Amino acid sequence: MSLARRSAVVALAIIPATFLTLPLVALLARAPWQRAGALLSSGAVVQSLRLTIICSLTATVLSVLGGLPLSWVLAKRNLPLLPVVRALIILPVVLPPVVGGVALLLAFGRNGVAGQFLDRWFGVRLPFTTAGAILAETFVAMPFFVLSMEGAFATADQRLSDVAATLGAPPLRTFTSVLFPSLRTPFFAAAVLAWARALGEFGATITFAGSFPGVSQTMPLSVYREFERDPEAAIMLSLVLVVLSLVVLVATGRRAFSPLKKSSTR
Amino acid sequence: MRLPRLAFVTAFVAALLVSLGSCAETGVTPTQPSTPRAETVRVYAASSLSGAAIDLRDAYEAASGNNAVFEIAGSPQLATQIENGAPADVFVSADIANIDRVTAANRAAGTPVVVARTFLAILVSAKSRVSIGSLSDLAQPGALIALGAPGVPVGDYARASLERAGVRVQPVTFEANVSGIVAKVQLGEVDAGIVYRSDPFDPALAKQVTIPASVNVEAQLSAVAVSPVNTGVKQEGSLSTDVAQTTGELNAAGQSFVSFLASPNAQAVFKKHGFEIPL
Repeated sequence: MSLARRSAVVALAIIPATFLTLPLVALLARAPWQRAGALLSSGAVVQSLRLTIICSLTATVLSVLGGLPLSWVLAKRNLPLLPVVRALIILPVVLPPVVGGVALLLAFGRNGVAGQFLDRWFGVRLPFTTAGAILAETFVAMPFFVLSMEGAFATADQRLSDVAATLGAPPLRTFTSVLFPSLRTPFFAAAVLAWARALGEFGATITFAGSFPGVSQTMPLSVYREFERDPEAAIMLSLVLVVLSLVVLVATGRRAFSPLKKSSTR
Repeated sequence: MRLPRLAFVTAFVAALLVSLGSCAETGVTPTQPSTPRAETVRVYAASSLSGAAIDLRDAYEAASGNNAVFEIAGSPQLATQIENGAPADVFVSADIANIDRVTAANRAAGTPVVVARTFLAILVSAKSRVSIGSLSDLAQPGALIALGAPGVPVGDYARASLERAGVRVQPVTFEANVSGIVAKVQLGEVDAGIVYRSDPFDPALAKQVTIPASVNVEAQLSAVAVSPVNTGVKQEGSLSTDVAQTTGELNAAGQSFVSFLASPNAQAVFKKHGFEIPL
């Protein structure tokens, strides 16, 4: 590429790069630093942050537990109607989360198609509870995990598992000592992706779990709430989320969010 | 081969930029002060007006020949949008406090007018698992109650009313507007909520329980015309510490809608939808 053409491309890249970073700069520029200490140490913020971390981590664990077998089955590609099944499972990736929230309420609400039995038989109530917030986050996060892991399972070297099997390893043993160790990196990336999605979850949570401090009001809901009352507080809360996200991105970014590399470079 | 492709890309980017430009609010076009900006009046109305909005719009359009479009949300949400430069012509809030915010942001074009009044009521779900016949029943253990969030008029009024009645309620959710409360009650996901007497509901899904006048709270629906966002002036809304420079510029179209809301025509619509007219 000639120098002129290269600089033209760089110039074109500056515009979108500015577009993506300027809002973050604006958050920093308008942050009420003199109130920062008081705002961040307030009980409400600590409570909301704690809830956010608990909910998003639990949702990640659930996404991993549910997503591993699901993605493995999808990757086998020998299911009938696989494209349809796959589309239905991946749907929450594309679905507006608020639609997910309404659907969750109709399914797991107190009078929902499944929720009425949860309530009647077990006395379990999910809407407007912390469990409900976790459920909403899992609903939107798990498909991200499944999507990434399915690709990893599909491209895993089948020969390794075959060799283990011929050596007499039962399927579970093959999975735990051969297949899974070779997929540690994509597994980690998929879990971080699911966690990141759970961390920012808003629409499904506010619709299904409501918004109550300490119960279902996670950081994104707090930001939304405060923006109507105390925009400066909303800025500080946003910055906490920015910092949290950045820390995770930098700590795991090389593995989780870098472009896919050939397996030999792993 | 190269050149046409480059030309195509350039044309595409140019088209994109032009369309982006025309989609964004063109704040740079100079507007004449105090002339109606448009035939269409943008009414930012509190959720409590959701039942009456269509009739109000039709009556206004018939009376004025203008068009009206409604943006309906919780009052504080609308106030925040207006503070941050939303292109409203009229703001109808369920309380005075949120009108004051718009005034403080120098976007009130005229004096606020109380256009309708309403009172609180308990909305009890047809699927309620507990028996609710009074405010004190809301405090019973196991009752799932929805209230408006702090700062949301219906929530603040409800807390005032509960305080008068000496009842302490532990809600399960704080909703951003009254429609959220009605929806969750009608769905049966909560047993009851405190809403406005004038809020429409489906009698098959819920019933209204009266709150006695002695502990009830009056909600005053207040309307104010909203100034256009000033041109060429820094728009910083509430996020700015320096005084915004929009100086309550007049808005004839907005003012015409506010006057309409106070007219017998509109008052008849309010009455039909269960509101009281101002004294």
